Amino acid sequence: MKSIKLKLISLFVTLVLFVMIIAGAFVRVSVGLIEETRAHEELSFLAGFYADIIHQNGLDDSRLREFRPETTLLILYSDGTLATGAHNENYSSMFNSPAIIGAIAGNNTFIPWQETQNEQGRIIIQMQYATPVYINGVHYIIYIYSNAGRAVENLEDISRIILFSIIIATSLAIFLGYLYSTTFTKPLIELTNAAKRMAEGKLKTEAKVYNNDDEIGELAGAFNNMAKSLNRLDTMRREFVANVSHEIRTPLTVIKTYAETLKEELTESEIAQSFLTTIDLEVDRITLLATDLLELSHFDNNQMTMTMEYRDLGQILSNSIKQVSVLAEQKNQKITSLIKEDMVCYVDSIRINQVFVNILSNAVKYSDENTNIKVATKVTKEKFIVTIKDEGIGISEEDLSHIFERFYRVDKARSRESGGSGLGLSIVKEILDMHSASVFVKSGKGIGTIFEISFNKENI
Amino acid sequence: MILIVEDEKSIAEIIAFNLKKEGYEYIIANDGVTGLKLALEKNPELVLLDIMMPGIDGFNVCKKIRQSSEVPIIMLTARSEEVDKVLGLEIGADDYVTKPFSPRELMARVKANLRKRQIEIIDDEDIITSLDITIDLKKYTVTKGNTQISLTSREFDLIVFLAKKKGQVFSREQLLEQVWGYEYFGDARTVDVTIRRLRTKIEEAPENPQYVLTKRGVGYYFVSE
Repeated sequence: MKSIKLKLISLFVTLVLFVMIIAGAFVRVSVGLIEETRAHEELSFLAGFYADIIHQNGLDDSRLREFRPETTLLILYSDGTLATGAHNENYSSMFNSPAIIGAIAGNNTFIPWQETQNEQGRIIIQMQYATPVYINGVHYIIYIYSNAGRAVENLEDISRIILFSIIIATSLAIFLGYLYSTTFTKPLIELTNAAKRMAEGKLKTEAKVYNNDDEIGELAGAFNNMAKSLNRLDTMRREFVANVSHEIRTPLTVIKTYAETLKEELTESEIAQSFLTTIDLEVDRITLLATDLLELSHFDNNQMTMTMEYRDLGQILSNSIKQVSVLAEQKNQKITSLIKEDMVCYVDSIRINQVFVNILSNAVKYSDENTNIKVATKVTKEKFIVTIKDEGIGISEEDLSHIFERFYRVDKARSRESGGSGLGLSIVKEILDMHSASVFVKSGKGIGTIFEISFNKENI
Repeated sequence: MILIVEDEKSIAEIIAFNLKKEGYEYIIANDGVTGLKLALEKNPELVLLDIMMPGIDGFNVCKKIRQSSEVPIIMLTARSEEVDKVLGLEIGADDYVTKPFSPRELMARVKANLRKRQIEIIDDEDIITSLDITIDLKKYTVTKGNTQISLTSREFDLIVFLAKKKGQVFSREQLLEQVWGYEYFGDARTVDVTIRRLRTKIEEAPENPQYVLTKRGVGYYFVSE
């Protein structure tokens, strides 16, 4: 169980238990006190009644010896010796009763809940009352006690009821606490999930607002507002990237066409040729950057449309090699290939060509002159595998894990010279991801690099 | 005469300069409305058509031109997106050049698109027939049954190339090289779109073609009887 739920339930249960115990104790004590008062009043009334009898008829009145099951009466002289009484027990043990001691001292004494042992050795609880009276010139002590069994039973009943109530209340508290805490946690869980969805890039996420008035509802509202703002920002960013990379094309076209035309006009000037070539190359670089940025923003926003069809990977690969061969020839590099036939796969051929060309042109760029680039294919039970191996400068282990990151440059000076956008391999990764294909890179500094691209045959 | 429809004056100017140097005549329209008017009145040999223009855009100009003319149209697009290229070809453009382009590349495209019916020159056959389709290489006509079908020069070249080697399968890349006549790096989809357009013109049911067939994963071929 999630801890906030547990905490809420524990808090709820603790509160209920606390209140129930306090209330239970209060009831228990109150009922005890009521029983005590009742017994006190009853016994003092009886004592008055017997005092009247003695006053009228002396000690001989039979009512003084009448046996009652609930109450026992003893009339004592002021020294504590028995005058008369109605009792069925060995009363000698009663003379050390605190009530009698109090009465001998001259006070009306009531002792509630007095534990005594009866003849069978059982503990019984009594309410005792003793009062000194002065009748017809003699000092007596009227001592009455009653069995508190019923009162004790009442109290025990009440205790049981209280205990039972506590158990019921606790169970109810757990149950209601669970329901109640769910009303807290459900919107929170929902919010958490919404935040997770958002972190995954699904910016159109909206959290459900359960209750507008409470703080969690407010939080959900604030979250949705935040999501809306993010969405707006993201749209702005997307449009910005798209607009910039689009708008920039018109001035780039002007620069490129004019530079190239000028270059063809000014054939005599070597400096003009060299400078105009530089301008031309730089325009190409900005163009590539703008194109790649636009493409990546499409991937980011799941706007990339793929035109999937059954194509022979070997055919695409041969075509890619042909495209790169011009570059390789300039550096006197040899591209050798061993390509199997019938590697028909469900792909977007233009995108896959882009993947091969990107990796191949990197191989050309990052290899010295007079080196070899080897392209091979392998067909396994489940996969078509394309390997592209160069004898180039290689990538250090440290850089290897970063090469698919955007704008990550292994060798800044060299990549600037080679004119890449720094986004090529990121695009490769995105395209392969969309084909559920994987890429694996192995490299040794100064030895060369191997790219291994695996396509699932399942795509067929 | 080549018609340049481009709202960006400096780009129109440099295209004109290069066309002139290559020995072509040209006229310039700086917006879509003028462009459309000139295309219909002056009967140019080729149209260079920018897409993003105020007024009517290049797509609509292309559509309107196609209603009455099969003149080769090269779209100049600032958008590199696949969808736009395909859309341009679908509505009847023959070719497209992505901005920023190199003037030399543009001239090559102009030449390639003006280069008409080169294929039959090296051939002695005059008429190719297949099922109820007749291709007359001398008259540059394609008839199906008794109706003449109006094809653009690219569509004509494509059907001739395929029909000459009935049954032989050509990859998109081969077709690009042979029919389009220049390296058309990476954009083999141009072939797909042109094939699709051709099918809508000659097939009864383009989705279930009888003449121009697809070999899955490889390319296209003309039905062998």
